[in-house]
Amino acid sequence: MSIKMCTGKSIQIVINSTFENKLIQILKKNGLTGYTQLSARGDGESGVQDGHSEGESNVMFIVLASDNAAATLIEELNKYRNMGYHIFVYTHIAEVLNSDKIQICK
Amino acid sequence: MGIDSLLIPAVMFFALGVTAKLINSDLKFPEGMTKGISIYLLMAIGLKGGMALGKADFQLAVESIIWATIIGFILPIIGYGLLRFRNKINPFDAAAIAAHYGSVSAATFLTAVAFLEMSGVTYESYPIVMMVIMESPAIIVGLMIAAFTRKRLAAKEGTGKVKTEWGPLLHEAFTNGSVVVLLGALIIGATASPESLTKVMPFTQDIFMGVLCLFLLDMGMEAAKKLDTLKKAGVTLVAFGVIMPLIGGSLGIIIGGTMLGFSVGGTFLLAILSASASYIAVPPAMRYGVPESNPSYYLTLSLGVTFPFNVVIGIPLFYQMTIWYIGT
Repeated sequence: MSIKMCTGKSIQIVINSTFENKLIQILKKNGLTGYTQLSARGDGESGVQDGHSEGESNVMFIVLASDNAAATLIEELNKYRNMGYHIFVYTHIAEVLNSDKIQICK
Repeated sequence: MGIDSLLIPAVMFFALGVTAKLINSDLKFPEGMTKGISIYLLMAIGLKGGMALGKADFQLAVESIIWATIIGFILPIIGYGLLRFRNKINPFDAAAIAAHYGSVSAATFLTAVAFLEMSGVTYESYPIVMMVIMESPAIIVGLMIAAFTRKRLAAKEGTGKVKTEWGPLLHEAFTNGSVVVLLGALIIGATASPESLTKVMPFTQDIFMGVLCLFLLDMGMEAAKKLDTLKKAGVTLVAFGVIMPLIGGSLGIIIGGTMLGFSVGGTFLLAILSASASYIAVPPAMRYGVPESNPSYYLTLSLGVTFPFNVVIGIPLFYQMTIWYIGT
């Protein structure tokens, strides 16, 4: 028996924790109400992000979306990136099992 | 007062933290512990200040609040002027850094309190109220300078109007965790019955100095971590990290000693508040409100330069300057 999987994008977004609420707002505005959120540590132009204080904490969001929704989201995030916010976005092609629950398949 | 002033446990634990990092020790605090300790310290100092404030002179308390607001607005403007002198630092970095120097560092203040208590010097409670007030004005100044810069650049480049979302930014300035805990503890300390407050004293006063040592151990490790990025910050910014506390401290001594008529202890604490740079309340506000600025600059300066400078040199120096200014 073959299981039906639906295809879309897995978008990974790394931001500073101070941008977290804004990102959630943006996701919801784009109809992306489900996401996975992780604490992220790292180093880069902004210095070491080790979670020691609020300004030095990064978070990573993983969002599953259809190709169209992913493109709209990335376009909107790019506006904030141009304003100077440190936002890193990566995408992968994703095959998802939970087709009934995720925006990717709707 | 010479090397003795450095031989208090809090300062020595700070040195231990720096050493631990320099020798690559695996010493590390569990995640979230520093945040928990800083909430405890703010609560304890707030309660203590509130208890004293309950018996304090109302008029002097109001004058202290007014002066704290004035200092909070003046210092970032001085800082911004210094940083923009000769156009070496870009306006967004200058605005974000200046905001840090107009606000306060509770850890530096608490180390100064430890220094006074070990030296048996009394102090007024008003500087604790001033610490609460001084957290926010500098954030507003930093955000306003950045907004004006954005507007100016947009007009110059003809890119149209730039909108700043003031609502969430001002919300952050006035409701950040340290302001809420400090102000709340001050009110509780000033209004709760003295009998009920004595019951919490074993937690808020008896173990206070020990917890402060733990906090400074962690601060020492954090300060040492920032040493690597000093090179990136450059000579101008590092020099600013030393010069600005000297200006702020001197202003604090004049206002505390002359305008408010504080004792040596109170004036010294106001000098420390004015000399210190925030690294808890302001960095998140600047990261969100001034995204064009580079966070590694302001974090390196406030934690890697000014905090160690104040703990090791500033505290004994401003104490001597206060004695010289208002006499013993």
